[in-house]
Amino acid sequence: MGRSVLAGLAVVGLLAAFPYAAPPLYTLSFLTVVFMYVALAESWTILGGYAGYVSFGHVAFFGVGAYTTALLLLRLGLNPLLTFPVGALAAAGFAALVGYPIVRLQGPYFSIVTLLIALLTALAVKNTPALGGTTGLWLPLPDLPIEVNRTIFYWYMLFLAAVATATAAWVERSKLGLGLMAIRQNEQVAEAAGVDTTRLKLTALVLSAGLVGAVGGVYGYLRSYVSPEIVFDLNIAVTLFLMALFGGCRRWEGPVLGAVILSVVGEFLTLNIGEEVARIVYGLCLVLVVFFPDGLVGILGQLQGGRQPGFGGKSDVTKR
Amino acid sequence: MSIVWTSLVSGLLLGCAYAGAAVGLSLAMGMARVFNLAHTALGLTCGYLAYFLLTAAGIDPLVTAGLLAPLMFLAGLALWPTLFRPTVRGVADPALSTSILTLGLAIALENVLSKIWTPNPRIITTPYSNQALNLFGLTAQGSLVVAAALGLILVLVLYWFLNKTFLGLAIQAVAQEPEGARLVGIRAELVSMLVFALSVGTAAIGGVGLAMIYSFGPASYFDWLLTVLLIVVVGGAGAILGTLASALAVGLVLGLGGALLPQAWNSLILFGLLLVILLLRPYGLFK
Repeated sequence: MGRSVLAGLAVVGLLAAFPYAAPPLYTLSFLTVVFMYVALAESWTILGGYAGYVSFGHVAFFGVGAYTTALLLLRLGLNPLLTFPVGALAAAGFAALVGYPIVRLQGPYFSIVTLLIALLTALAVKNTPALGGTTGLWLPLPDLPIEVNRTIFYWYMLFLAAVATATAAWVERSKLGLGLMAIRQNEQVAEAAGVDTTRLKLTALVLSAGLVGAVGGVYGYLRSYVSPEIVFDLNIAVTLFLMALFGGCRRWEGPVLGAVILSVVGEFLTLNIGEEVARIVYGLCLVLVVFFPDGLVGILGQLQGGRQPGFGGKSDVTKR
Repeated sequence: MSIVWTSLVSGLLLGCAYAGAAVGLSLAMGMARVFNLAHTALGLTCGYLAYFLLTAAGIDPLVTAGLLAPLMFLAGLALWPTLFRPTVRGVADPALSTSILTLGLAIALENVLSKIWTPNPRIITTPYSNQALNLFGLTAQGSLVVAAALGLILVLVLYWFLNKTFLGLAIQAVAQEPEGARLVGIRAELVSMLVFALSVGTAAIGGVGLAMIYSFGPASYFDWLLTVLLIVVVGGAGAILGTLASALAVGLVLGLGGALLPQAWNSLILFGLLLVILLLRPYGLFK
């Protein structure tokens, strides 16, 4: 445990020093997006992976975070780099507000309802002139050289990725995580054993939404523009949970692995063949992950032949 | 006043067309435990093929629908053992696993369509598409009447098949009591495969029907899917006549809403209704 924390800090430290090597701007921007997806996938996995409540609509919280910091900048002149925790609070509050009725739903009904919440939130923003409607809001970036701007956002997304990963790793080992995994394995049994499933699911949802909201709060500023098309983009919603499932959403290592690999694959395909082909591959990956419920982490673990602390889909109960 | 009556009629016709697109999903969800989010994406693919054959060779979309339905049935037979049986079997929550799987299929299909036919919207125009037909003194668009007839016939044939044939009764038996059905010698596994293939086959007819009345792009499957889900959830998964009734109701709401309210309200009505119904009665209004 102590050793893995040190290793994690070393990796983050090395990555944080990377901009000093004066890398090309493109590399810096690409890594920024990778970190963003690591943060999003890790946040998603707290509810979707550990508890097995697959949200299709986490982008709702992303958008709420982005619009919160955008408004704070435009109305009060507060810099999103300082106010992103407010974005997190707004997203967490929104999740707490809508959470109670939705966490009672099972399986795909939960997934579809989260998707509808994202769609309805985007629709509400589109029809609110004070939020810029469909046109969106322009956010003036600080008047600094582009390299400095990019480096700042690189550090912020790296920081958020580290925080989200650490949170997911901590939840995995905590009593909360134990309860969430009990919910995934058999919710009725967990409830009968005295686990307050509703409270745990709500806690996981609010925590997960808050982290996603923080990332959204920085992302809007990074793009220097927020609009429903951009911050409520369903492609983001699908990509972030595909990455978690692909890497393996029952262990904190999974989403990092999934986000890094799929970002690289997606970027390669988009640049060399076209965005549509990248999306086709993403779609097929989503088909594939159903057959590997422990994701890449699970496959790697099996190849190593070690005993798996993971929780296989089919063998959930028998393995224990 | 006549605009209300006209939109009532077109709403009911729209409902019949949607019933054709929804009935297969209802079957799959109610009787094969497959939550098929790719249902309308498969239908849309058939819509594109109908468009292609019409513009390239002048083949009527109705003929294409008739040709594609058995082909899609065969595709369903092939998909079941390769993708769906392993997903449904032995998994704690087959509905969730199949919904993730089919979401992936839908996204892949959408982008294949976009790659082949570009994201530009397409319209199927047949000689009868824009003919104003007179129904009991009210006018209705030709394509809408044809699509409605297609959907209605599909639903009624399915209803007859499920209630009047031995195979249909076996399907219902497996849906209601899988263990009992096995005990009396029904091969439940085979029946599930058949239901799923049937559902995919009907996606072709329903999809071509919707493609005849709307202009469509690669992403159109998404709104179709939400509408069809609304219909299935209201009507109850697996209930054929329930699906028809709820499709008529949803068609009326969409038809009247489309005529009387601004465009932006259509999505709000659709998303809002589906949200409310899922929150209140996730397993159907009549169950």
